[in-house]
Amino acid sequence: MSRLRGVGPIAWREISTVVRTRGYLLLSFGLLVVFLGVLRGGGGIRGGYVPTAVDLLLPLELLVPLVAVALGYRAFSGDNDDRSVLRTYPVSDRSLAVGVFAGRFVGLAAIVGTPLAVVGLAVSRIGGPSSSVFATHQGVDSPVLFVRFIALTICFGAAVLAMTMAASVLVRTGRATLAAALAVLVVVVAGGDLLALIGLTAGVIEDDLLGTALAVSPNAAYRGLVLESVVGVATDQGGTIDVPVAVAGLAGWTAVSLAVIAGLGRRTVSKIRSRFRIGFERLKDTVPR
Amino acid sequence: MAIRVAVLVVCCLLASVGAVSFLVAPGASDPDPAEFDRTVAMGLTLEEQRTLGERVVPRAQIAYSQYPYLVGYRGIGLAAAAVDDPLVSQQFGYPQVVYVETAPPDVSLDDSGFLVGEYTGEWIPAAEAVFVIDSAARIPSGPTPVAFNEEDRAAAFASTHGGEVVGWEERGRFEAPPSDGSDARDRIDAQHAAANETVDSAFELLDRPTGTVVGEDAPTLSAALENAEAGTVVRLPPGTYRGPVEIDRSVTLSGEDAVIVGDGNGTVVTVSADDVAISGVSIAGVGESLQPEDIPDEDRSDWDRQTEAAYGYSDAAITADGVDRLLVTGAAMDTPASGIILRDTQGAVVDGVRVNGTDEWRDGFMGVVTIRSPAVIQRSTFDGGRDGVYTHRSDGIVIRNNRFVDGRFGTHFMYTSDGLFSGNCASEQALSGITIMTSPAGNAIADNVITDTEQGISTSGSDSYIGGNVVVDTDQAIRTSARNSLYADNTVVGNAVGFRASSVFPTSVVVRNDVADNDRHVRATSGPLRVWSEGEEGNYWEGAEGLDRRYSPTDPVDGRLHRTEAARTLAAAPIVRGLRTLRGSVPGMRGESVIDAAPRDTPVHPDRLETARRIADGSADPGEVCAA
Repeated sequence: MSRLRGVGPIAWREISTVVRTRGYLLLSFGLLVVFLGVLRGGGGIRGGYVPTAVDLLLPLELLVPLVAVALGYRAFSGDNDDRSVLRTYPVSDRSLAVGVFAGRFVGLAAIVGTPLAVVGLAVSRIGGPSSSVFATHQGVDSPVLFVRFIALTICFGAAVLAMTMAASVLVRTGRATLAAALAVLVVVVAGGDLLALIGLTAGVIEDDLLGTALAVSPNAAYRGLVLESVVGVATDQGGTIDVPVAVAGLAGWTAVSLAVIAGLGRRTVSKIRSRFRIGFERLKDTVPR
Repeated sequence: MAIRVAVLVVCCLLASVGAVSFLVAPGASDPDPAEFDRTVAMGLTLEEQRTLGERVVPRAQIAYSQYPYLVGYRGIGLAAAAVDDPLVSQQFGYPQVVYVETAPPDVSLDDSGFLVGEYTGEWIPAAEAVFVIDSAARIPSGPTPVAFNEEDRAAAFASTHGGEVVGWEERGRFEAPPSDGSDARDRIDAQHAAANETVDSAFELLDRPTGTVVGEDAPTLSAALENAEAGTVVRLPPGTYRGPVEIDRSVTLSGEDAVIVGDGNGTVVTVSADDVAISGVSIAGVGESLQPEDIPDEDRSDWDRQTEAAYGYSDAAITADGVDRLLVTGAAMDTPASGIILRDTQGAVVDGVRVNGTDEWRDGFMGVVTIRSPAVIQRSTFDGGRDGVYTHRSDGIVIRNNRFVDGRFGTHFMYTSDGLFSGNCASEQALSGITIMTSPAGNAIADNVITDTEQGISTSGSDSYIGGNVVVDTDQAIRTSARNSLYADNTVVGNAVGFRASSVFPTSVVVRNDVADNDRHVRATSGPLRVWSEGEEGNYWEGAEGLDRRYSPTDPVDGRLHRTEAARTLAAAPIVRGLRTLRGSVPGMRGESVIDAAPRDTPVHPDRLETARRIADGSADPGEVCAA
């Protein structure tokens, strides 16, 4: 327990930061507007919870990483780089990592989860069938499925948030953190799928391995889990992803990123960074002008 | 500190709610059965339902995973076929629960094999029921399985009425009526051939020896008919003859530039004998009464007596009642009421007739009325008046190669199944080219040209084929209300709305149609999202060429692709693409739209499309297109 001393206060401090920053409130509201716009265009909201989830799936795949990057990229740099101050308290690197992550994660869950919950409420008010002539039933549509959808979305956000924070630890300077975070964004949004696509094209990935290979990529794991445990319930079509691997994948990305944040002390980080720099200089020398 | 604890508790609570959501089953319990009248019901035509009387039909109802209404089936075989129909599951999800209604406790069969008794209203899951198949039990559309709640009762029924006792898992063996429009399509050639035989047989009536020449052998037409010998021709030289007359023996009335003029009251020529032919005469002086004051109270009164009274007894140029084999050919008639009325007439042929009705359809009546008379009506022209042809319980009627101009409906099917409407040309109709009402089954509407009307083809019922039609310049070209039907190879050009998707439980196949130059290709109203493609086979939509993706003609962006190039830019927007990609995944839960998963790059019938475009822009005359 002593190893994780101080996690609570650090997390609370992060939560307070998120609450104080009006921009995040605006971000959450912006998300709500986007969701409602998308649903108005797609018409899913009148259909029920599952069509709503279907309509929101792709926008969320893009927007959740964006929110995660916004929350995570300056977790350890810029205005927030007061670890030197924190280090004067008896707080371990691990506590610091877990605390900052936990706080920001709660922020992310609130920013993404609140508008989704509002959407869920809206569906319960206006969605689903109504008819004065015909007997209606819900089909297999259910708020439970929408809760699953929100939970999966937040888990996906957690993985990307951790990855962004890890990237921001690896590069310390202000401008570089943004670049690194954006790199995470690109990798999460497109990288995994692109690799799977290349693998398929090159014939490296067999058909029966595709579900597993995709599960390694965070966004594909998220998409697959939603298709499997939310949409698939209504269509009775399963096998869209290797579920255990997808769950392990999302958890793995989060855990490894947290380990990077916590485990890599200042010395290790600077060592890696200097190696990079040396390598880069060498590379520059070898390239003929 | 308290607030921290509160936040922590809330977080833990929400996290556990999220975790628990994966542990509980989403569909808590299967929906309960509903009263049958509250289901979206299908099976049996309205006529079949009306004729059932005190007899019952084994019924079922199904709740589909993606469809919010319970679907009722008249006929357990129909429900069994739907359960295993991939088209139904693509559209509405899998059957969550199937209920069947148990047979009446004291069920018996009447002479036709129909079940006699009262509906029990006792619905049990199909998996718990036992069924008797291959017994003598029938419903109007054919043999039927009968459901029981106890094995003993099923066995008792089988021992009395034959058949075998099986469970729901053997539903592949259940008797089921046809459930798509391909039967109607495949029947067309045979139906034409049968009609040709009817026509040949009727035309034999012209090969009769001349018995009487009016004006030479008899002073008047009436006198000639009174004295004519059966099996002879009564010839009318050019001139005007006074009616009304009655043909009460098997003669052929043959004229040349001969006009029979009634007294402006009642029907001019009444046929009451078998094997009568009327050829080459013109008829005028028809009365104006659309409904007689008193209808002879005959013993064939039925549920449709009122309908028959309302439509089958107007004044007409020619009326035939209860006769076999009648030919009316090369005749012309001017009428303020009806042209030809056929009641209970078998083997009637109306060929090359011209009926001029009233200028305003509300003032006039029908060109041909068929009451329980499956006639062949061909090569005729119906100009003005209300409906060109009005059919009532005339199953198997053939209406081909006619022209309908300037009426209300070109043709109006009431309680008529298995009809063929082919090669006709309808234009300038106030309401529609052809309208099918009262949920009949198995009609084929093929290869017609319909232009310049409010609605082109308006369908209802089921198991129909609507194919090869050219519909141009209407407010609404084809209404896809007929269920389990096939809408294929139609050319729909230059309409305000091309297709109207309106059926609440859409189970039809819509493929291989060419749809171009319409303000809106498709308008979808009540009912879920429809998938209008079958495997790799889709439709040609102007504006969707080269899309290489699913296309939704009802989508605000896709639906404008043929109207503005800028729609392409918006269609390529990430957000629009994102929305589009997964839309078809739960079609039954979405409303009022249509997608084609395999839109075509090229028209199916380019020549026909070109012709239709020329009709639409006025450079081709629909009449000439029809004649060709």
